[in-house]
Amino acid sequence: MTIRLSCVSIALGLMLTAGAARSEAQQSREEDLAQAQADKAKKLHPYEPNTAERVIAKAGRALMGPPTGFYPWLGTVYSGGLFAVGPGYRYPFGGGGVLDAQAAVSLRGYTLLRTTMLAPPLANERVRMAFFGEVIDAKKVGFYGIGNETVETSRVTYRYEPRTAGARLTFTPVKPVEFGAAASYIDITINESGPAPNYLLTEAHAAFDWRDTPGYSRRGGYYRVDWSNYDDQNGGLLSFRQVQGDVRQLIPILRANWVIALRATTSLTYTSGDSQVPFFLMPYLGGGSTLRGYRSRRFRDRNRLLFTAEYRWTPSHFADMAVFHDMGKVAATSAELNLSDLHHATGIGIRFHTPAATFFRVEAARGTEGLKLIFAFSPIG
Amino acid sequence: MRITVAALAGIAVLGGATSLTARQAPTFFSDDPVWREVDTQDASKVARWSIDLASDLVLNLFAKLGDPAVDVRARNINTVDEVPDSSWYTNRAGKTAITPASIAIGPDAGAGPAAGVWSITSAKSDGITPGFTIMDPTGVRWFLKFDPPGYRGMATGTEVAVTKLMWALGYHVPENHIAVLRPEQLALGAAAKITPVGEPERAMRIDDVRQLLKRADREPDGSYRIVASRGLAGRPVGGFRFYDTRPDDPNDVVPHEHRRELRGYGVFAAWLNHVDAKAINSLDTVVTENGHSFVRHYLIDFGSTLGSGGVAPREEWEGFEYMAEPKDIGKGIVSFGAYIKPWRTVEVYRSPAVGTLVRDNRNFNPDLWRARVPNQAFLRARADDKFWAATKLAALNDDLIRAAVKTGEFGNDEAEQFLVKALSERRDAILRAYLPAINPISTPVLSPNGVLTFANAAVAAGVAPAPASYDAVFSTFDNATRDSRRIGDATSATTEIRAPAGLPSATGSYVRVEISATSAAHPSWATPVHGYFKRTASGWTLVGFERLQ
Repeated sequence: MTIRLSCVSIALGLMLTAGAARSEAQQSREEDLAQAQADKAKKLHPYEPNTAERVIAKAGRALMGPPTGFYPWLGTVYSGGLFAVGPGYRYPFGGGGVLDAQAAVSLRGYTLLRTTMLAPPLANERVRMAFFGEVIDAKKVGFYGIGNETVETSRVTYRYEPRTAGARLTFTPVKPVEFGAAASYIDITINESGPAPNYLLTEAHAAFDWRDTPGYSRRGGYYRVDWSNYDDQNGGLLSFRQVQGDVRQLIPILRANWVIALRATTSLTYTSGDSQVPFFLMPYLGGGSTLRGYRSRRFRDRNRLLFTAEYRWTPSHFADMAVFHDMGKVAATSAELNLSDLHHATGIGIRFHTPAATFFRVEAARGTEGLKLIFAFSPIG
Repeated sequence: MRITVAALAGIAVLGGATSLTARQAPTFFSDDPVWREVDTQDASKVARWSIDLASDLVLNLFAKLGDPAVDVRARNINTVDEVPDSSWYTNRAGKTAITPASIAIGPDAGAGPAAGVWSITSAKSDGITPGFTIMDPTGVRWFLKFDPPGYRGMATGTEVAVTKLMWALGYHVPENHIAVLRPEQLALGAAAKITPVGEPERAMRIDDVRQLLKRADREPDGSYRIVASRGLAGRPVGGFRFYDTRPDDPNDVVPHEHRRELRGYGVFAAWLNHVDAKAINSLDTVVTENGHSFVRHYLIDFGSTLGSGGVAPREEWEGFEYMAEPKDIGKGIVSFGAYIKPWRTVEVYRSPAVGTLVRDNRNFNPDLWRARVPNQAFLRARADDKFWAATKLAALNDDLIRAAVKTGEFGNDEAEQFLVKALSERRDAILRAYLPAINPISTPVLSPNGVLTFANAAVAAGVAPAPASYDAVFSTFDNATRDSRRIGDATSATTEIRAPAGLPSATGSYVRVEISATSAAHPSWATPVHGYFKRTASGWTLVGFERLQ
């Protein structure tokens, strides 16, 4: 006699039973199932999320939507100040209004106090108005002289303390067109005994933005013109006007497996009579968003020209890679803004992002003055 | 006496003490196979819970959740390898006759919200998908959702059509209707609340309604095409996860990752490109019937299926990869973009009416399909679970698919025809993948006079050629001790085999039949399925069936 005790029969015997002993006591499958349920009924308890679930849930709430109440703020106080961290407080009100305040200190000891009140939208969300106040103390801002040919070894530092209060209005008649205007009062202190100009700053801009979102996009374009009037309140000797143009174009290839990102920006300043442009408000190159590969504000003058080209690829839905080349120059007059004597920098970087926002990027760039590492919380364009 | 290696392995796994007591329990009870799984315990105390989206996504993406054991046979199947009806599932396709007319009705018990003033009770305000909860004049609660601007029919039509298909496949789904909303028929309920993004909950204002409607596609006459989803019967207590059991539901005794209908849901999700098959798109309700309370489990929210992404057409990568593929990231980084994933180049069909979907689905590979986030039940699906699901799909012919798609009222004949064609092609691809993968012999019948007949699901579906021959080994089977004794074997070129002499004739006796097939194209068919028959007064009754050990 051959007996084949197969695991088929064993499996079948146990298939719908929680334990053989229980099956032994039952006379039917239905009773057996009922017993399993009765056993569980004795051990019921409410669901309690475990530690991992609680931590992720908390982090998710922080990342997935704007915070309400106190929150940790990460960012940059002023270029060259490195990471800054501090408490933030956000209070939404009135159907779209938001009061947002931050206090932060950076790794270089730069400090920031900032409050912004975004009023509820008007005119069917076409008009938005904001009021803001800001106090910055940038303790050691680099200065290398004025002009395109300064040398790195000439670096000195100054303390820059602007205090700003103002209001801003944006009007979006139809997306993606936007117009804006702002007025603010700026009280600036340079070092403790240096110049202390006060400005009434009036600004206007027009923009056409057809990127997916300003914070992160793989397609579209952004074209903007800014006009600013710095009106020196202490006699007018430091009054000037500035016009800035910014053109960014994203060209996706093969469903954005690759993206070519191009940017050209220029800043032009104008003065009247004997007025001068103070060095601390001059357009500049150098830093994490303008001419990477050079120290922050490495070159400054009354006019600026910058080109950026990036080859991006997308290894995941949350991280993009890029190799890039920046080139630019500053000049005393707009006539000198040509393609000669450009400073160049080449680099590679990774950007971490959500579908709508870039929250961190790390880049390494090399110019003629060595390799520079960039850690930033904002997109490059 | 010869004890097979498999048996030894089985005994070793089960453990000595367990196997000793198991020997004393019958393999088959008198009521096997059960076709109805009854929830016997009172579940009225089950409390509402909220599954956190972020932790659900992150943990499913980066952790293996639930039972760590691999290759575990589904635990809620009956002794003939089928899923009984339950608070989770109702056998329909392949079990009952479904007609184009019946699938078009699906779960519907009515015709949608009653005309008149719809009183808003709350708003869906997650910042992405606009929606309202309303009470119609008859006091019935409905959830209203819209198409995104410029995509009339895409989200609403997809939701309705897929609801019908999921109903036919056996799941508990809500009643969804295409309807028309005129803004003037909306009224703010006194207690209507809204929780805007980044703001605390507050009383809803008429301006909130206007803002939500701005994110919806509007008809030329100012009305809105909507999908109206009837509030489910019972007390909602939150969704269910695709692993573990609910700790406060006494009737929930099988880990969800081991429920066959949830494993098989992965096959249907692949078919329907249901990339959003996550816990949050399910809902449990506590239902009281005849004084007894139990939890009924629903699948909801099919707006992100087929070519629809709910608020926009489906993104091209969806269905091809998880939201995060850690193993691929390194390759992507070092390749400088030269590593091109398949979804970047596949040709897609685009239509405002149905969204974006792969154009040619004839070579669809369901094993390569991916939801946005791994689903623990899908990951546990074995070949027999997928086979089960494929048999359900095989019962949905093109006429049924066409009837279901028609209920979406997409308003674009060409797009509707594409959807029917795509679903038909994807179904056929799934049948080709899963029916012949393992021994497809099914529904064995042993006649009183000893003639064994059965079906070959793969051959019947036209996805595999008939094998050269079928072999059957007949044995007696002792239901108490599980001992068996070989009676003899027989071979046939058809699906009909006469048993050798010596079958027991006493009422209450059992025989086991191992049926295999010889197929050059499908060597896996040589592994036999096992059928168990019990002798009754009227003949032989199938009481056990096992396709895969």
